[in-house]
Amino acid sequence: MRYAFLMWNNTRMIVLVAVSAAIYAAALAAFKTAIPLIPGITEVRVAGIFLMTFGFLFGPAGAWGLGIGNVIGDLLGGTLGPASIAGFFGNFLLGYLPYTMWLTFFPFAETSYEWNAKNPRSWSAYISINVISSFACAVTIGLMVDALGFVPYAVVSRIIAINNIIGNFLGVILLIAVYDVTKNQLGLLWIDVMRVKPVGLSVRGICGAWIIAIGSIAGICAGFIPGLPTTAIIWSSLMLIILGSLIL
Amino acid sequence: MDIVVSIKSLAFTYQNAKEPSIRDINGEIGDGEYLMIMGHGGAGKSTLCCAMNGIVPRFYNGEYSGNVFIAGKQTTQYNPSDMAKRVGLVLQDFEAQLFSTNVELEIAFGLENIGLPSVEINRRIDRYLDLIGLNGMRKVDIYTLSGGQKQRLAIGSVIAMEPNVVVMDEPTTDLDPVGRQGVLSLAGLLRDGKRTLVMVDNEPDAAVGADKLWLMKDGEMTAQGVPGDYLKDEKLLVSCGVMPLQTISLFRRMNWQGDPLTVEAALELIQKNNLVQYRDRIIWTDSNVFSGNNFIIEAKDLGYRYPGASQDVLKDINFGIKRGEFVAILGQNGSGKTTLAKHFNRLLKPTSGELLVNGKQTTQYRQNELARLIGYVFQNPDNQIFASTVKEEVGFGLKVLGENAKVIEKNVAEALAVTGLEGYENMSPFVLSKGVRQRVAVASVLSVKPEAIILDEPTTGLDYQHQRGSLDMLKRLNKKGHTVVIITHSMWIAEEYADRCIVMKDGEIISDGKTRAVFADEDCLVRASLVPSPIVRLSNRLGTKAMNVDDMVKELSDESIHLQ
Amino acid sequence: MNLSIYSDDKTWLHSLDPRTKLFGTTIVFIVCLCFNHPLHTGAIALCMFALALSAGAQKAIWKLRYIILMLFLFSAMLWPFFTSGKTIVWTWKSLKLTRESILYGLAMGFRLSTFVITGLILMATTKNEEITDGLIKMKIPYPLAFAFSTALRLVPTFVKAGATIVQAQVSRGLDLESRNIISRFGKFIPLAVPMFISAIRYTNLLAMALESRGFSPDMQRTFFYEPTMTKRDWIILYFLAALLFISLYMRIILNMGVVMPGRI
Repeated sequence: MRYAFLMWNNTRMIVLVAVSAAIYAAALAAFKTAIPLIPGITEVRVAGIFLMTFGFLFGPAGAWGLGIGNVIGDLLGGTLGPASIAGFFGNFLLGYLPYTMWLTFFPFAETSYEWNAKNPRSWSAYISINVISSFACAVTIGLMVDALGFVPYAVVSRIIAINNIIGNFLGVILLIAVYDVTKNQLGLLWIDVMRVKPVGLSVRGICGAWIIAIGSIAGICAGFIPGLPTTAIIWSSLMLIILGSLIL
Repeated sequence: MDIVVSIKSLAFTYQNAKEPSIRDINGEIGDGEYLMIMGHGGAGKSTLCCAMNGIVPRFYNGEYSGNVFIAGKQTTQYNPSDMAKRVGLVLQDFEAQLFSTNVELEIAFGLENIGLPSVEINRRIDRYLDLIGLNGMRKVDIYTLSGGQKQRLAIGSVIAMEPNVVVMDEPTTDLDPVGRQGVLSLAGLLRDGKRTLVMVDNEPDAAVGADKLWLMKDGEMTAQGVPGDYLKDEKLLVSCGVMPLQTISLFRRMNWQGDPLTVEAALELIQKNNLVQYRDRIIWTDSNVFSGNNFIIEAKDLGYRYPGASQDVLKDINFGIKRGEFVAILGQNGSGKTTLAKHFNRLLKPTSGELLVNGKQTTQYRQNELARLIGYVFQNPDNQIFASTVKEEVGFGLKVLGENAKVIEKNVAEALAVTGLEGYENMSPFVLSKGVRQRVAVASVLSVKPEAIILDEPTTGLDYQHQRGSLDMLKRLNKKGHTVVIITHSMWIAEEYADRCIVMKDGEIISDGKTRAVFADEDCLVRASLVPSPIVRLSNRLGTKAMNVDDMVKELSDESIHLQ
Repeated sequence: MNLSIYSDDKTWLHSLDPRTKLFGTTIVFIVCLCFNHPLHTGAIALCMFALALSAGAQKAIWKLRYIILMLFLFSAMLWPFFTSGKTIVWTWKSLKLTRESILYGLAMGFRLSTFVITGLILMATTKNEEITDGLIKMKIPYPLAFAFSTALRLVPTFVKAGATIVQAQVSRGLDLESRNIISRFGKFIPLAVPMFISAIRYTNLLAMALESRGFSPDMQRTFFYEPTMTKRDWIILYFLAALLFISLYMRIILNMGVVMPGRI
């Protein structure tokens, strides 16, 4: 969590927040009404292809950018409201988990903070984080939106999860295309901008990553299996996700 | 005179770069001086500018050595906000420098950042809006300003912080001639106000008024001194990627005495030394550009209005472009050039009248049929480049049009050969320089082998040599039978390369004809806020036909033979 | 593409301090959340609709009429199947509908419409920069507020760049008119990559220009525009605070306006 706050001391990271928020919001606004799934709540998110690319390349700036970008998307689409808070946190997680779990989500994690399409480790990290971050976002938004009386959890959490997973899968093509130029040409990989070394494998990191993973998976499964105390499980899932995020 | 900027054996190599971007740079700038920096693309001008306000090395990782002193203190010791009070930086891209919604807030932004009280901010807004010629526009929405106004506002908001030095990195490159003139005269005002000014620009006319000129080449300083001394040196300028002054070139080639930097000076010398026999002004009768029926692109009473707008941006447009012509469309920003050109491949559909391609309305084509007939290269190559290799990028059009691998291979190879990109096949287009990326964009349109190719501002941001390189390439294509249409602000390019010019103003065509005829009517060009290049103005005064230095020399030499 | 919902007008809501409107909107949201009986949420919806008319926000509401209608229908139809009450009115196999869950669905329909209408009133009467000003005055850290307002400013720039990129690729033969969702996703890549790269190239320029204007995350900044709270702002805030207090009292102490006690 440290870098998510430290980044506000860096002008270029602040600009990266604005730029990624604007791209995300522009893509959301441009495709908002194209294929709505639940009008006013969610749609087929073409903008989803930016999620992990922002999160991985720009780190904390990508996380804040996605959160703020989603709020701006609501603002421009006319649906700003209490659910925007849920949207902020959910989308923040979509950007937050890729960079925090990249090295810590043992045994799927990468061993260095880079993307290499020829290395199976990069793929295992990408795919596993794709699923976990999509689930974490779905649980967070689903629960809050359900509580506010928007849409039942069982409906919305699945849509969000699937939407994000598809977006991330297609997004890998974007990451492959832009990784090198962002890192080497423009020098905008977040660890270079902030001049930090990301924390490698540590007990704390592994714990954080797995707490989130367990919370996310349990939260999504609770919606599927009948006869469980669903509400209680989902709320504990959310608590795990928050706890894990704070640890990371 | 006090020294404000002092640079001592400065060198910088960007992270991951093989060669240093700048090396062994030394120099001093005195208080109140106006310094001009010129050099080819990649010569290190921008890096030097960034080093003056400490962005190099603060932002960019790399190897830095040497020192830059501003008012006696090293740049590396300033923090950003103190630096902002010392050195103001103005960039080429004016959009990237504006952060607020209205004019007064924009000026205020920097002043708020350095913690000035409202009263002082208000005072400075008044003073500097007056200087940049935007007084009375305090509450105007920045979105509605023209490019030139935006750039002047960007300059104003930097000067309002009253830095010791103002550094402007190619502030006029993205502007049309009127906008450029506005910025240059603002620079003149600053000079008169004894403000220290560093300007990067690649047009030699901007250097005429400077106190000092630095010429850069391959990261090194090749010349430092009074502009007049170096502007005379044709070879030196060309080697640094700067277009030489045409008047100087003419005088050298004719073996005439004198170094006129302007048309007026040249005319005076010619008159004084009686160098040329004045002749009657030629009346250029328009040869029949409108006749014939071999039009590839033809507009009939075309009008266009953007959805929701209250005024037409194109009115009553009639013309026909013949197969094999090389046409330049000229005019200020907002005159409708690009809007018109976007009709050629149906990116826009006329709201009245019609646009015909090969005699058939564009609306009756399918989009991919048009893509094969008309190639369109956008101004900024970055708007289309996406693939991981040059080969893939260039072959993309063929692929989406459903060609087989063999054809793709063959056409791509040809397109790369024409654009001089052999050897780049497997490189990533993103790592290439702007000029090469521009050529990739052209190649990717050429590979489809369109009958006509439209280029929107193909030379913006390129240095003289690369501009020539691109245009020579287009000329070759034209000779091979492609119809070429360029949209441009650059007068000498139209003069030297186009057979025909179409001049637009406020959505209408105000002149259309053979290039020489169009450029003979300076009054008409003035109405479109265009000024022909020095050699053509000279030619118009002398009554010659020539439109470039070579032809002029030939024409005048023939004459002197006759006289003898 | 017109991205702004703001209506250039001078109603009494336009002239309020942005802080009043931000607080006010939040209070209305909370009041909405106090009740889940359709009569109560319906009444609130009606009040907000009347307020929207006096704020000149009807145009914005008309623009989103489809979304509001669909939101209402969706929740009115979905919730009855996902909640349960005591009074059963209809059963079929394992499905059952209760009076309470139907009423809850209706209540939620009204609540969601109110959310959208309230948000629209805020956006129709408050300029983006006023929202930013308001946030800054409410002690949101300046860098965060700056990132927010810059992002807002950049959206139209990027939408325009996006449109140019679409045109550039269409010129090369890219066919964007097919209806197939999957192939559309694939075609998004030749659009997304140039979009990403050109926007990111912009980042370094923006940051340089920013520093050149003395921006630094830890600076001590002054503000040229100082929004001031008028007497009217305070009256409205006191009124809304009272409303909030009454609503909370009704829900928590009197247990009024509830059909589904376990839910917000």
